[in-house]
Amino acid sequence: MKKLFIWSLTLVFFAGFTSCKEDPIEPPNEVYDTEVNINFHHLANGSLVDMDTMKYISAHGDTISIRTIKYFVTRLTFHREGKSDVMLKDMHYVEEGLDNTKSYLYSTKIPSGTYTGISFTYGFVNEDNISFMFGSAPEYQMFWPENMGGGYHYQKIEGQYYVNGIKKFYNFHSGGLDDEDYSINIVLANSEFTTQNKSVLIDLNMELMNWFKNPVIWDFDYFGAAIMGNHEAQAVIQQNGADVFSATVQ
Amino acid sequence: MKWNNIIGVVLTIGLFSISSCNKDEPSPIDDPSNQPYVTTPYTIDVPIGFPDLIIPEDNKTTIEGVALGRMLYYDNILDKDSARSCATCHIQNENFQTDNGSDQILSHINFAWSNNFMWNGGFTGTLEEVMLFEVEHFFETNIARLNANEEYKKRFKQAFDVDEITSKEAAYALAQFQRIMISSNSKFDKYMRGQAMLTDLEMQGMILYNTEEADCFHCHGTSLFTDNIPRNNGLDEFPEDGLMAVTGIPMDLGRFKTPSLRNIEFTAPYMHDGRFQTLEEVVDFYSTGVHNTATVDPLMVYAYKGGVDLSDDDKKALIAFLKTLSDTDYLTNTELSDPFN
Repeated sequence: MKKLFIWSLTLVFFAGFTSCKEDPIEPPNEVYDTEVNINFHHLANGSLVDMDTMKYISAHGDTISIRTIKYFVTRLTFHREGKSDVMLKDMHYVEEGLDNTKSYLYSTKIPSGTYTGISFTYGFVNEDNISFMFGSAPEYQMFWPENMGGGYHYQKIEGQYYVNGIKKFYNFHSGGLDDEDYSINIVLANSEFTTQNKSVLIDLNMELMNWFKNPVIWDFDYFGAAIMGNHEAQAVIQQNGADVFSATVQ
Repeated sequence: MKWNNIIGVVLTIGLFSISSCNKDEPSPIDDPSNQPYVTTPYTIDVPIGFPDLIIPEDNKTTIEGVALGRMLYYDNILDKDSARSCATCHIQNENFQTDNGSDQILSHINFAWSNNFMWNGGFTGTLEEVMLFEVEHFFETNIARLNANEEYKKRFKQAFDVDEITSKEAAYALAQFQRIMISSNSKFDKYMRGQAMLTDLEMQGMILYNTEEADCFHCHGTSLFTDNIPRNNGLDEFPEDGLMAVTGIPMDLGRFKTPSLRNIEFTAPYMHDGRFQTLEEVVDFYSTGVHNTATVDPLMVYAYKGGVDLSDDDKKALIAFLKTLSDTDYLTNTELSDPFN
């Protein structure tokens, strides 16, 4: 019995020791000295969008206008060769018409060096999408009702479209529906860069017309104006979002 | 006794004597006008689920400031003609509003979280700023009259440490009182706190409200039941100017502030012009009466067919849910009542 007790103690001791080894605390061996600025640009057919103008033709052939653009960019991540990624925790809200949201200096910095690319989450992964986490407007007003899963809208893009001579509204809203994660992992093409002067500037372009094509041609009348409770529509937005963004980095 | 000790005793006696002498002299603190300025903090309990409460550094909420604001709210002294007070139009048992015919009065409810005031969105800013507007431009307060009133002189001194009252302190006191005018004890609130159950009908209404079937939540969402944004909800084929009268921007035609739906049961008639007498009429309008005009808000997605087209059962459910937003405690809260009665 005594032997068993000693063995047990030994096991507990080593188990504890092993646990410590599995979760090492890495010493800070990098200097996070480079600030990250990001500017947001909203384009339609390659040019800055004219809001509230019924002049854009979707891939489906619908004439549309755009009145509202609101969305969240989260988990902005910088990728490196042979080193761990650097992810910034800020959850940034962007709104066309609110200039102070369209240019943003991240609250934390990244190490100087060469990066192979940038990615981010459009909206929130489920783990980040926590109801009532925003305490003030405008983020607060992006809430997603609890009976549809809670958390926040990823985006609200709104406007009008013509169908059979009738002007209708569309609410191109996306979010996590019934705990299904429809956030979009955006990997920016050609976003490699080397930091200079301890600052990096990302000009992020959203090509609005790409929401409505590739791979799925968006038919406004098929999906209807109200799509928050529509899993098929949410999945299509998630697919179509992959090539909506492009960036220049300097 | 060593010399050191002798010196110590002498010094102690000497200091004691000096101290005793001072005690007999009149202290400046005995003069009431020289009382140190001390206020008592007023802690506002922000209800669960409400947004953060932003209180300006230069107008912290105090017992003295709130009490003064409450007096001013109910006192005609603010009005240049002494004809009215805030409470003349904002009557507590009518949810701090009143039926004013075609020019409806907005309820004073949870304004601590608003930065957009007036039906036509004619004033944006802080509570302090809008109250200053009320003092200087709405009431055109004769500040000299406040300064001639000994009771108010004393209370402003206690609340703001001023010997000369200005419009600013009057506005700040009103803002402090407005900041405690919080409604958060409706059946819906109790349900959210796990203290009450909703009936099946109320629950059905809540789901309609919070989905795009009735789609109330986009504009009348969050715990405030408003996003405070001026919108055109399609009331008219030829809308009144609304926000356009303020901005001159054509797209602002027909845009009016989205009011809170808290205590909506007690605030008939409805809309900025009081055109609807009952909640049934309001729901009928959103169901089939919406006009699809150029400046209607895109959130009115079914405007092209006149509205959300609810069944009679859905309308009843929606109204049942709206009535769960009734907070009668707010209508009788003695902290908010007329201090002169």
